[in-house]
Amino acid sequence: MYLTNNCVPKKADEFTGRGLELKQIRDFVDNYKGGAMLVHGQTGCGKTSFAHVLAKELELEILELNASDLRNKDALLSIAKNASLQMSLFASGKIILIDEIDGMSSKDRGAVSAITEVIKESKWPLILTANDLMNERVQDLKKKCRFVELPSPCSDDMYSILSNACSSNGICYEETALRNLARQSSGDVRASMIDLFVASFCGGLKSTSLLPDRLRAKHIEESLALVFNTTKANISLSAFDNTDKDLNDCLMWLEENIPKEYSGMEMRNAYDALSKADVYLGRIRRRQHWRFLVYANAMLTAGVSLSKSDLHRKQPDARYARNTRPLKYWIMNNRNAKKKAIAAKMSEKCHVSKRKALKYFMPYFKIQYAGKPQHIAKELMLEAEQEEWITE
Amino acid sequence: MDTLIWTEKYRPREFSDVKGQEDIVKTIQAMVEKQNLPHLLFSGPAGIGKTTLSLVIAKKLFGESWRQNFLELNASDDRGIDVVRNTIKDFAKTRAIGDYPFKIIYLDECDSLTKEAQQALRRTMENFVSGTRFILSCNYSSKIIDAIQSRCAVFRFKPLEKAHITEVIESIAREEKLQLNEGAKKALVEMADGDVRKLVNIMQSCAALGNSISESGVYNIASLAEPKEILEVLKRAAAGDFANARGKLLDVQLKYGLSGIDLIKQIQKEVWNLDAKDSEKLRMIERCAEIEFRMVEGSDEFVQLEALLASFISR
Repeated sequence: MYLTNNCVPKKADEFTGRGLELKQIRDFVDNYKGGAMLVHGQTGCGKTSFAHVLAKELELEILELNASDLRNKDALLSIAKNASLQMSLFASGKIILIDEIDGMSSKDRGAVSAITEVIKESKWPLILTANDLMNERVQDLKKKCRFVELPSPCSDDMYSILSNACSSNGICYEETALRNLARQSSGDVRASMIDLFVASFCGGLKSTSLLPDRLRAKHIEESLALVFNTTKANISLSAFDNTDKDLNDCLMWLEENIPKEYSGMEMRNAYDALSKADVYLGRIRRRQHWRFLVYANAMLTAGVSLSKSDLHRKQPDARYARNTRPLKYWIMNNRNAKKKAIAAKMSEKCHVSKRKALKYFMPYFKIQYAGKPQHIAKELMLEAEQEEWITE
Repeated sequence: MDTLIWTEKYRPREFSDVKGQEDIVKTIQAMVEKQNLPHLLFSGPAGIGKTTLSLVIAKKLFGESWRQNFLELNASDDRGIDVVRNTIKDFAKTRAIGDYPFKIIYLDECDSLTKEAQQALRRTMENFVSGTRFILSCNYSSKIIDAIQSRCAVFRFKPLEKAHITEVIESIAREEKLQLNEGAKKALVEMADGDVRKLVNIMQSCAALGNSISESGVYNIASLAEPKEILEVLKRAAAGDFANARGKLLDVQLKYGLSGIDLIKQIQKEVWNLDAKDSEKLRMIERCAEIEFRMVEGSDEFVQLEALLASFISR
């Protein structure tokens, strides 16, 4: 017996707690009118399984392309597109499942545009799955699909799924141990099944201490909450170890969200810790002296945590926000490129450096230009897009 | 040469037109007439005639061919040792075009030359002295290494007096047929703050909006170049409103395209205009110093500014 295969749901009602979302997918397949459905959700929540169950219940053939297949433009077009246009050989219809679209590799060149093409012309329902809707590869496809988020089962649902699996496979268990397993599964059904499978060799699930430690990349929000809500260094120090962000990113998250948790003297201390961490990060960047990373980490975790003397939260329901400053800088740089080009021309004409031209001439330039636009444009030999900047 | 950019149009072309630096001009004019010039070091604040006098020297010495014999570099764009080693040397190596004893290299904003580059320059100045003269210009001569200062005749330009600025205002007004009353004149003098380049730029901007220049018009235009919002940022921080203060500070940075160092310079100036005890202000200045130091060592300037603002909040 291999439990995961044995326990893959065979009927739709085995997907405890996810009925609403699944009905949407079923309706989409049942009344297919073109387009694609993008199903996203955490690992092990049942995206792929459900597509297979659905195909079985509706007696459809299923064509699955996943990350193990080469999925560049040619491959997708020859396999998926042909399938999307041809009739099914064995069944009354088919489902085309393009799995794990956020797992497209750099070798899968042109995949997104190929999928888009398939979506446009497909005669059969197309289901795409993804873990992370924020993944950049998914962005373009998002606009072309309907999407539904498949939630991971909560721990109560997970418990009933697991206990069903135990009774149907004759695994004995202790209730508290199984509840613990359900709780620490973070909604990953597949992983819990494997843990159960392992436990079955040890005479059943008697205690959770036997279970493997499943470390998942923590959401940055969790790490922030950890740093903000402790005054103990040993808890705080490892807060960022399990996120998928590097320390520079963590610094940006802290920078944005400190005011939500701190005020007054505490905020001052927290930002001072950040400021010191930034100095260490600067030294790492300039001298490639990576030893400073431990110090930067210490300031960002313990430094921020210990800025607080007591643990009350400033706004208990505060939600942490992403830092928008880099985006704003990017926009500014694009906007300033034209201004800088004009300043460079000014600098030649007026015997000053570009830096001085920006500082001493550009603030006045739009107004001066308004006086005699054509003449000044001609004198500086401005290009069309530079003139555009002036009249903006 | 016809130009519509007033700073060029009204740039003095004769020694006698250079205002406010009579002694310096007299000495230099005498040397130019004898075609005998040492290396020169001009120091003084912005917009008082350092570049202008250098251009007059070049035009008087070389006449029509001044462009071929005059290399103009500014240290902030052409910074670093490579420029000294390549561009400057290449120009210095060849003889002057026409029957002139030497060429001139004008090096602007020398105070931002790195020390290394200055070191590289000292030998170049000596080795090529037979065919090349340097005119170095800077705001603070203290930033120039002694070895270079000792090879130059040093001229310290004086800030222009009110009377000189008024003369410039009146002659441009006459030429451009502008009407301005005493109030507007006073405002121009005040806003120019001794800087003729700034003065002429403000005048041209005012004139673009109409021939009659008013006092309030001058203030409006002048405020374009000076982020007034910094004081507002500081006031908000002092009142404890951190979120607003940092939002505003980021806006200022984006609007004017300022670097973190630019911003902290402004903050440091504006701290003294806050409504607080002097001892408190001094404490803030100390924080500025610490943060500016960290900024130089650090990687994200804005994080440092936030730390500064946060430290202004609690007293």
